[in-house]
Amino acid sequence: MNNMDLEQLNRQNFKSLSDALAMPGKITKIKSVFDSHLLAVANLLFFNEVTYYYSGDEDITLIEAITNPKITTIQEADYILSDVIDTRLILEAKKGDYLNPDFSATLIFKCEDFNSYSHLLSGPGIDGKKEVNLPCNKKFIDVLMKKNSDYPLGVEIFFINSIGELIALSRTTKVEVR
Amino acid sequence: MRYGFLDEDAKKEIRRATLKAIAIPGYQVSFASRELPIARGWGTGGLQVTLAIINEEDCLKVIDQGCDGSVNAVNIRNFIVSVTDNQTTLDTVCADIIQSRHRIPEEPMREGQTLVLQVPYPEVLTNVEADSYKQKVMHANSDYAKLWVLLYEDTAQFGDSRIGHRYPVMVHDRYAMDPSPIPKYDTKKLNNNKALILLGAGREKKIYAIPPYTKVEPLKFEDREFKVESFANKKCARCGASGVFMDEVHTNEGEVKFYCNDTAYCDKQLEKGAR
Amino acid sequence: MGFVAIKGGEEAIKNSLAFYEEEINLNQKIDAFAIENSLRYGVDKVISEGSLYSKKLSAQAILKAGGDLLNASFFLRAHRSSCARAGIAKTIHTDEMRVVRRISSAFKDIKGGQILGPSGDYEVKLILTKTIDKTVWDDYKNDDIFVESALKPLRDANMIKTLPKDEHISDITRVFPSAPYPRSAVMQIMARGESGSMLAFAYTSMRGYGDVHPTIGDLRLGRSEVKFTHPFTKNEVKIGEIDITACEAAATFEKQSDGSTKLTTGFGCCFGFNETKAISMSILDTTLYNKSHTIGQGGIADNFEMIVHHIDGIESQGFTNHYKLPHYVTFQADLQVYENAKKYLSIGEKK
Repeated sequence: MNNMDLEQLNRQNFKSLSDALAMPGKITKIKSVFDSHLLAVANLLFFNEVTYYYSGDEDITLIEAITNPKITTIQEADYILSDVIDTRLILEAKKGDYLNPDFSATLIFKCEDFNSYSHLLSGPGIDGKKEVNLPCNKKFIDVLMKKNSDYPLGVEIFFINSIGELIALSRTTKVEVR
Repeated sequence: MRYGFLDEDAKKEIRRATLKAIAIPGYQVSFASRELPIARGWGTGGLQVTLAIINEEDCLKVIDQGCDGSVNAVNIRNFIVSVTDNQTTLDTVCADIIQSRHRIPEEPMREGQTLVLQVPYPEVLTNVEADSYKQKVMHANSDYAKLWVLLYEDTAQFGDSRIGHRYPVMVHDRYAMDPSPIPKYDTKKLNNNKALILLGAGREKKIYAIPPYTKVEPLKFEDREFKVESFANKKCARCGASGVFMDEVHTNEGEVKFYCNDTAYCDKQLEKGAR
Repeated sequence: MGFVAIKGGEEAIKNSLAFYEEEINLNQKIDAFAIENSLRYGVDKVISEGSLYSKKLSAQAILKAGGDLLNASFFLRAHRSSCARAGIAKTIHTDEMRVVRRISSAFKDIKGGQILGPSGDYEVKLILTKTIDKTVWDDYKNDDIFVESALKPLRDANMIKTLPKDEHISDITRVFPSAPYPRSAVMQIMARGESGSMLAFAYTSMRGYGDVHPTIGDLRLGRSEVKFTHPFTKNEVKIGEIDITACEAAATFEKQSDGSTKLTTGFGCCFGFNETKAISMSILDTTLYNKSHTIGQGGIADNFEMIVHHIDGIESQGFTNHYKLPHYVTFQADLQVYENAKKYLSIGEKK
């Protein structure tokens, strides 16, 4: 692990994650852990009191051993990580209740790049409207918009591309497909 | 001692609460709230948020009642520096993180900056409903009738709300929120602010947030003006500035003088004038 | 400019701390060792409210705080925050406690007997010192004493109301729950609560704002083993012993949802020898889970919000003292609103 300071990486990566969520559509950078950007995010978010579900091929065992979260089902998970963009995960993720809308899932999707489709974003964190490229199609956006239609209930989505760039959609973000 | 005093699990919990708070503007997220070597009620909520989000590259500014040199600001700044060794500044423009008690700086903040406000009473409904479960139900239903009744009763009796500071606001048209004990003069700065605003209440164990570019409006009747503190015709006796929030100072000679409350702003004005 | 001109706060703080040091240390001829071994009830109060079992650190904190026990507890809590949680120990059963003192006022004689042990209850409070001779009984034995709760026979006879167990045991230092509060969280809050605050709330119920006139079913002071699962061998190992106080109070009877009628009880338990606190806690546990019958639900000590949010000494002390911080911005804001209201009213009078 040649002197890798995981806590220091977490500090830096947290800034990227919170900036991305506070300003949906803004691209920030994640520094990798064990050569993986997804594992870096897992290492940042996982701890004793949270649950997760992972669908993918990366070796998450070491991060799990270090951070000690609980593995659970898609329906129960605080964090849902996936190597591919899958609307089923959004459909099944928990979205909180009116008393505790924060008891809801955050989804983290890996993708190759963001250059698939152009979308128009608006909502908190966005100065008016903002055009961004996202790796998801109209069907995905329809599912997400439906999931997040009962605000304050909903989910947050992060996309990480192959070069460690991060982009987020908050539950308050309105997305129009261009 | 480890960077940022708190152990990594504590930070992770605070960060999780912070992210949820950003996702649901104005909604209070519960957190465990660790005890710090600084007393409860003295800014431990803001301090925990700052310690959980700060990294080596951040330049820090700490103010209390508008002043970087106030004893509590000095104490909190010294503590943070002793556990992070980070750079500090008095300049609002240069700071990445500003921890503040009871004021939003005069100079506008920009994207990428974070304002951390210390909060004594996170629950805007406290004055009309003491039971925390009932408060939660009221928030769940966006039922703020009791706040409106309070506003109505005050207006009928005194022409306006009796609330002088920590004036209730509506965030993103959904949650009524306590903006921490800032004066009404600062309330309008919450609307569409470019910086991320994080609010931390240590004793009451709540974190909430206003992301940048978020609609924040004071709770008021449509036909009533939202009156903020006015210092009309007053000039700072030190730098000559006007139109800012001022401190009223009674001198030993019995004179009343006015000074910029934001002391870093005052210093800057003075410097500009001298040039 | 006095209070407002708090620039230069840096030097002011330093000097203030230096004066404080002088105030405390000038004639200090004792050390932490002496405190730990002579002021045990002070030390025990601090480990209990500080929520950290270390008599040594407690004694040091008392010394540092110049004898202010609430402040000393604050030192321990702050220290506790910087310690990582290694794991969760096994449940301690009070029946397995090595008892040094045990009384029950519910029965004249009980299994295991009444054991007065060390107590100042019957001390005549005269400040003059006098030595007390100890009588050595002929049948005195040096054996460890373990006793079961004096209420066990009643419990075995199904006469006592039992509350459902929490499925998940809270840890309020990790996740602070929202209302409705799980019982395990409420018990933790009380176990680290401030003795005086808990006493006052419990007293409201005894005296008139409630109807709990408890009988002390079982009060035990003693030592309990702390056991832990070894992280590598997975064997159960003893990692030490702690002094604890445990109290069971019995109160009035109540009709249950299944139609039966049962006695209500409450449980109090905390670090160290803190009888008043453990008794107060057992009464609060009774009042919270058994609403008053005589004055309706208008009591103080039967209100979860009242107890959960107002008995922590570190919090209430901190907040009370924070009013010493400058509040001139908020006061200025309030003054302007007051001026506006005055203007509005005077216009109204002229009409």
